[in-house]
Amino acid sequence: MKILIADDNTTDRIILSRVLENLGHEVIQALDGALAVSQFTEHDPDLVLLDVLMPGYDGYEVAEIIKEQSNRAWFPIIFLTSLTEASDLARCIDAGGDDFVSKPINKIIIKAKIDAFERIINLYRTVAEQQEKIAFHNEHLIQEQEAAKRIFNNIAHRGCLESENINYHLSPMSIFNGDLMLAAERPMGGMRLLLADFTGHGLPAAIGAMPASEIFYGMTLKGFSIPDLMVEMNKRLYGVLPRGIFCCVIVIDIDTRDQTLTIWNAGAPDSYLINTETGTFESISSTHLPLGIQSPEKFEVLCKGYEFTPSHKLIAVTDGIIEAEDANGQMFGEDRLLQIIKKELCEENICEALIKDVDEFCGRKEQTDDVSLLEVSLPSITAEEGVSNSSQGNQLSGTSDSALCLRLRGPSLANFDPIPMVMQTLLTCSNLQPHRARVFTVLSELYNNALDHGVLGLDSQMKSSTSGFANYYKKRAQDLESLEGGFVDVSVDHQPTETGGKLTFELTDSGSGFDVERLLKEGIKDYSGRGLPLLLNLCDSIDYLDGGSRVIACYIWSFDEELD
Amino acid sequence: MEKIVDDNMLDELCEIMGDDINMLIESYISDSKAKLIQIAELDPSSDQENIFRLAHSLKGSSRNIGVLAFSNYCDTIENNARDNCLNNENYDLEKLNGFFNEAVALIGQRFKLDQ
Repeated sequence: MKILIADDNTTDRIILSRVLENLGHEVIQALDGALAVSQFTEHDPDLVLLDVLMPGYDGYEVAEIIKEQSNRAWFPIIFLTSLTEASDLARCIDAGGDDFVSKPINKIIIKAKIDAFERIINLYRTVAEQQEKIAFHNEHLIQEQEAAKRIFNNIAHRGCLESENINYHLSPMSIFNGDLMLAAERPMGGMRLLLADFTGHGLPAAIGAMPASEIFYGMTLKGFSIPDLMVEMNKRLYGVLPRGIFCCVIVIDIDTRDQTLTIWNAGAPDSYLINTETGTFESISSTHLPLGIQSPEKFEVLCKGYEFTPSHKLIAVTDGIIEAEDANGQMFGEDRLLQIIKKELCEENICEALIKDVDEFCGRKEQTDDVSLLEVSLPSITAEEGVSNSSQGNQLSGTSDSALCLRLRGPSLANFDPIPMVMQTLLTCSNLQPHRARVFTVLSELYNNALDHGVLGLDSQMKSSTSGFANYYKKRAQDLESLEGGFVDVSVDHQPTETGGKLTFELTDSGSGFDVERLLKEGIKDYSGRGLPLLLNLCDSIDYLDGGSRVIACYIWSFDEELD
Repeated sequence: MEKIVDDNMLDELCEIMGDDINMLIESYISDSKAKLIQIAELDPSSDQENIFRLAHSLKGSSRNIGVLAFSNYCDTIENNARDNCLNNENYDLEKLNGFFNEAVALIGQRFKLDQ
């Protein structure tokens, strides 16, 4: 070790130096306090031996100065003293000393003390080296996380989460809390939202976010239903996620035109459907295990339907808000959440009020890092028309001159939604892209009419009462489940015209039809449940044949058509 | 009668210092002589602070060398100076120099120093 000895007494200094040199240490000598300070700066010794009484700076002062000056975490100072008063010895320690040695010098005691401090110095050195390594690795990890975050954010982007009907709270690092919030406009108008919470923290929790996001945006754009989307997402996560990691999810479809909301909660805390006008609300509890647990064969999705008018709001949360803790470790809890929702019911931005309350409850800012909160109301009716990429001008492509027929029978009617497949086929004709939303709407209205009112024989009047939609939805699911016979024929004919193209949809169902005469006589009012006003508005012609069990609808489109 | 020099202590010092023992002893003697001259110039009624320092220093180095009687008298002077009660009774420079010279004579014999 390199040892600095500061002692104005030449005899003492010479003897001590020799004792230490004999022990194999390198010794630097200082004749007084001022020299001790400058020698310390120059030589950076491992250990310092200081005489208490010296001219100029005394030992106490030197200790304070060099402790202050040094940027080392720690180095030992041992005082040399012939003082024996307890208060004098105590002052050695107060001044920053680590120990003291009494004069006259005893070489055995000196050796023991120096050896003991050498062990501590080595320990400090090891700790410092390890700390340096940890700091290096930590920085490396943070850089990796930042890079990963950028990649994740590109894939798990938030879609149309910034729309004006949505308020949300989500930490910028939420991906590493395992929270995911996605929103997309549906091709037939309205919106789909997803709030997901993967178990655990850090990268393991984040890995599932990538496939989940890709599946969400891909399938939503193609018009797949919530059950189809969830089946696919569960299948992928079941295959991808390691044991013990799974994904709680709330998925919501909002139909702006019908003013309905379809929701499925798998393992997440209750969501709240609020009527801001009446002040009433309804809890929507989890009805299924989280995604990634059940094998695809056992997986089944039964959504719930609700009326969703401009005075309605839906609040969805992950467990972060409920499990947020105050200083005493007490949890925020569902009761408190509910109380605040009740209190802030009419606030424009319930989300903000809730987050403020969580912050106050926790008394710490960082807590909200774990909190994800989604507040959504009815989106405005301006259904997004697909982005027009028709840069090829009037050059027809893909299925511009084609016809397809498809018959779905019994169980296939319950298990298979033909609309995404048909749409995908039609949209290979890229000129049709700007018409995507309209074509989608026409096809899905026609198909749903054929299935719901034709094959299943459900009464469209059911949907008009307040609780009707929920009942309607429930009955539809039950009937589909037990469906054995019946069929729907879907045929689509696409012919090019001089100005664009003509789509002819023909749907035939096994149902008993309906009173077409009455429809023609009394107008379309009573059949609004079947979306007839909308269909008439979008299509160039609609004809009902065979007592209402067959319908032919024409949709004529032109190049560069200005769509509202 | 109190011992003037501790021979065991000197033996140990020889062991520590090896060939450099003479250098140490010479340095001790010249250093101490200088301090004794300094202390003689001070007025015990007004300069007890500096007397305290010099006595403390002489005491420390003398103990390390094993110069017992002299260092013990230095200790007495140091304590009285600190307590501000030096007087003609307890502060006898002749006695102080006497202890030192006796010790130097003994050490000089042992290490064959030129005095």
